[in-house]
Amino acid sequence: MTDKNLNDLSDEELIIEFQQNNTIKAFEILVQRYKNPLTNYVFRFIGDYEGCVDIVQETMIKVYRYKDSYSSIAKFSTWIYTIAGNLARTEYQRRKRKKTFSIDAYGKEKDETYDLPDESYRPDVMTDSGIKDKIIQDALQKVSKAYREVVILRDIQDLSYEEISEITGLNIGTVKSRINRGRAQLQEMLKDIYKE
Amino acid sequence: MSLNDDELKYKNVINTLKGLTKVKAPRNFEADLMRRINSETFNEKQSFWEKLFSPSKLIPSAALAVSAVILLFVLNINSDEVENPLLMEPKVREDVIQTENISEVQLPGKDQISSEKKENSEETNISKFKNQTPDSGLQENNRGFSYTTTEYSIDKNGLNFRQVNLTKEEQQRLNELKEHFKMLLKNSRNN
Repeated sequence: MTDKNLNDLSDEELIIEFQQNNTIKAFEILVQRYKNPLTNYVFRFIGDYEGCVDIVQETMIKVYRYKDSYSSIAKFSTWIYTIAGNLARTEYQRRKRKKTFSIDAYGKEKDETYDLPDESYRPDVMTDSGIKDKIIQDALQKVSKAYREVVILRDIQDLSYEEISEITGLNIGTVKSRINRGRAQLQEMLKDIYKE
Repeated sequence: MSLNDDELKYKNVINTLKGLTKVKAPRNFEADLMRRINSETFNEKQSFWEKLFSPSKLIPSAALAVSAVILLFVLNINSDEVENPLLMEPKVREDVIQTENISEVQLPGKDQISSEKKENSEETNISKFKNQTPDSGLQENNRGFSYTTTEYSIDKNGLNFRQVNLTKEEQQRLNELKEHFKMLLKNSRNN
């Protein structure tokens, strides 16, 4: 199957192609499609860019290693978001216990050589537009973890209530209730911005 | 409250969140990812036996085993004095050897007996009985004293492992007591 043909396939068809024929190109296309949405989702949840990149890479590695555990009954997006969400929650709990945060986004030593990330997409780099984003992100970090996750999936990632219910394992009623509570907390914290 | 009401109530928040800059993965994301996948795949290819006998695990284990063997060997060399009780031959007790006739044995003379120390644990029963009463089995013959074991043969039931060394006076007293009890026994039978 040519690259052009692979790009035309849906997510579910790509993962099946990867499962049955071990087509690495199919996997790479899936990585390309989901790396940015997952990075956005995980960053908004844990608030640390380096940590979120690591989690998204772990997610992709799990997809690669456990591709056969995917069943075509569920949507591929639901499956990959579930993996990423589980890893993000685990990392969040780990950080909460350790209470350690990355304070240097550029590595430990100035002389240390490493691949430079694309700074235009770095949310912690202060730009004019980034200041407001940072305020909102800080407010989002103060929202309870249980509410924050579903608010991000609904209002930032634009997923449906059904998809969020499958990803989190909660029933739809609980999902809606938590989303509203998360929004209420944010509204309280961001009321000064709305006055402007 | 319906879904639309909720959306309306929190319209500002929803619009604020939707307006956030989309955070993207770094440019070298795929390259790093494939590098990690390839390195993990390489590590997984090692079989169980390869992992078990890998130099990093084998060398310390072998060193520990060799050290243990050397230590045991050194300890065994230094412990020559300590004998394995399971391999020891039982000591033969010369004082309870049963013989039928030891007429060929040259018994020591009186002088030699008197000079022997009483705490000598190797003193034989033969020399002890030399100074006893005529009731003992010690008899004279043309070759010296001979000891017949018919009356004083030591059987299994009669073995006395607790060797008591009595003085001449004590032995004499003991014999007197024996005679006295014999007399009493005779008298009681007659009565």
